[in-house]
Amino acid sequence: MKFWQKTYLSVLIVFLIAFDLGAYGLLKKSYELNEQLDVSRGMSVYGSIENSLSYILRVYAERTGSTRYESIIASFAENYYKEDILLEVYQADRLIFSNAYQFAGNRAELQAEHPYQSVYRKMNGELWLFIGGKMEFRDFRLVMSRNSDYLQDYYVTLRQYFITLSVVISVLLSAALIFLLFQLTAPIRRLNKGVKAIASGAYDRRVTARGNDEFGELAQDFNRMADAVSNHVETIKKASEDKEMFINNLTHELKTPITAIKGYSEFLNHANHNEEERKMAVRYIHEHITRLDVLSGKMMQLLYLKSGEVALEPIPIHNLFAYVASMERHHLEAKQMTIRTECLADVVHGDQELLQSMFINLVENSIKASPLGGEIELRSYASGEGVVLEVLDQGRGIPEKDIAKITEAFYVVDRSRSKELGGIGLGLSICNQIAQLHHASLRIESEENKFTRVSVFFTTPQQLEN
Amino acid sequence: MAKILIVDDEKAINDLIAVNLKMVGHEYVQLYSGDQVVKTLNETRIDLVILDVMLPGRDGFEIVQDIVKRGVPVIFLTAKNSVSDKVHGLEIGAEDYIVKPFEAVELIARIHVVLRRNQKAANEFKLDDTIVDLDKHMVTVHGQEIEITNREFQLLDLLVQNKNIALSREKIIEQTWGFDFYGDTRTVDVHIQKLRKKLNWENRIKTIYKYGYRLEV
Repeated sequence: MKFWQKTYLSVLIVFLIAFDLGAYGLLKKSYELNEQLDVSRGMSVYGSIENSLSYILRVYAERTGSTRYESIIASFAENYYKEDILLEVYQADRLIFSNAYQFAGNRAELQAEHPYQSVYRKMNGELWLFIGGKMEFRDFRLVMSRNSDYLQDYYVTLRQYFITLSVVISVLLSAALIFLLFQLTAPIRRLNKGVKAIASGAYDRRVTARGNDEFGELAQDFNRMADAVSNHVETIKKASEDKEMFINNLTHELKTPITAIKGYSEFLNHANHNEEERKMAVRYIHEHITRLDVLSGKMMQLLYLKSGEVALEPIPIHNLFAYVASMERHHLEAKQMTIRTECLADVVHGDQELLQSMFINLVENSIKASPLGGEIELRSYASGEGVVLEVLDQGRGIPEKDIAKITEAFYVVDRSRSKELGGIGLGLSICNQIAQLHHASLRIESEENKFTRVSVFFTTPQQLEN
Repeated sequence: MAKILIVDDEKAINDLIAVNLKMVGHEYVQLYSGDQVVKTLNETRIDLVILDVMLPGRDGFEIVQDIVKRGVPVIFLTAKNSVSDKVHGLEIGAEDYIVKPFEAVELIARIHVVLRRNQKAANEFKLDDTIVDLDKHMVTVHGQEIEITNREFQLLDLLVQNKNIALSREKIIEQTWGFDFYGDTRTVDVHIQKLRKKLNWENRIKTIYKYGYRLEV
């Protein structure tokens, strides 16, 4: 059952019970008051009858001395009979006159001592008021009875009225309640619709939040939750896309050497080849096994870096540059190149081996890009709070459209050339990873056929703490 | 034999396809990027293009329409193994789609099918005194037509397609009898014996020890 239906039923039931109890109490009280009024009216009528009759009987007895009262009582009663008042007169316990219907049963009004006793009694479906008491005259008793059926009619009419009223009010109340509840629960339905849409995957949907009642609050909170969820979903999606891209690239990188090795070994085994073809096949097999070896090494490094956390220690920049230059001297000599270093800042905080690895990667890239006899510049300087280390070459440069993507794993600008130079597109990705571990950022500036400058912006340990 | 254009930026793979094509007697032209494809097609008569999808410059999916427009069939060669890529490749006009790493026999069989579908395959094969008419399924030795069963002809066709390349008995069964063949690999030996006798190719069809057979040309 829906909330508005529950509310509707509860309110209606509570109202009906309250209304009917009230109406019943009112009815009862009103009937009692009417009855009291009827009795007191009856009493006064009885009083006057009794007075008159006692008087008449006393005068009659004094004047005539007769004890036959029946005829005089009868003519007296005649007058009241016209007013629907019936009388019974007892002498001691003997009935000496009655124009009322005689019935058996307990008659409390006959036992009444002073003053009078009134009893309501139902006779043939009609309500009668009986009032009885001792008369002043001798030991006579008088019982008066009068039809009080109007009391019952009044009761029935009133009850009928209340029932009708209760039905009418219920109908009106129902209509009003349904209308109100529908209006009041509209935000819930809107909320519900929005929630359902979001639950079924429309993470960009938001519920319309109006007003500052609980529903408005709930809607706002819900929207905040949806924002958080959609942000997370975005992040996860991005991560999964990155991962898929990485895996696609990795698959490609693996498939090429595997295809070559498999193809050439098959060729050596089954084809009717000559010596020259054999040499070529063996050369390619060797080349691609080397490539797989390099790839697995770099992959291991990249995976290790992704899971790591480094201790930052002060490292003299001069030593770092000197180490990189000495490690690369064979490559440099092969291309008759020189390295120039300039240290305007002295110390950088980081992991020595990782920084060495990063700058060897960067310098190797520069060597590959540079022409014969070129020069590479390693510089360090302070910038704001932090230290910047940069590698500058006057080489081939990077096309502008590729700069943004160049740190992605397996991204290479010129595949065929890169392969000749033994690159697989992981070097800068590793550098980027190392930079991130140091909370540093990589900035690459380049102009084609002019220069490439890779700057690493380090943050100081103090900045990190803030 | 057909002239085939190989477009793959990996020199090793490009050369691998080239040596295999050379073995079975096709001519070939090698390109290492997509940029020269149209120029080459304009200058040289090409029967078929083997096209890598991931190429520097214009990639395979971009170039394929230029090639198909000239009525030259294309077989894609790629490391991407997803169904959607395959469907996409075939939808934009490629005749076939081969995923790396591939087997030489499979590559050659697919090339053969595409060439034949486009009526660019040679319909005659001559060796010694034997002439095989691949369209009419007719074989003549010394000018005399010899009787040959349908199965024997299929086997002969396979050997001719893959000349100079060893075919394993399993590969022969798969290509000639189909996957649902329940017989012995010796069935292959029996058929090879019959072919050798009928065609006078005792020295041409070489037995490769513990592997299969090779037609040497």
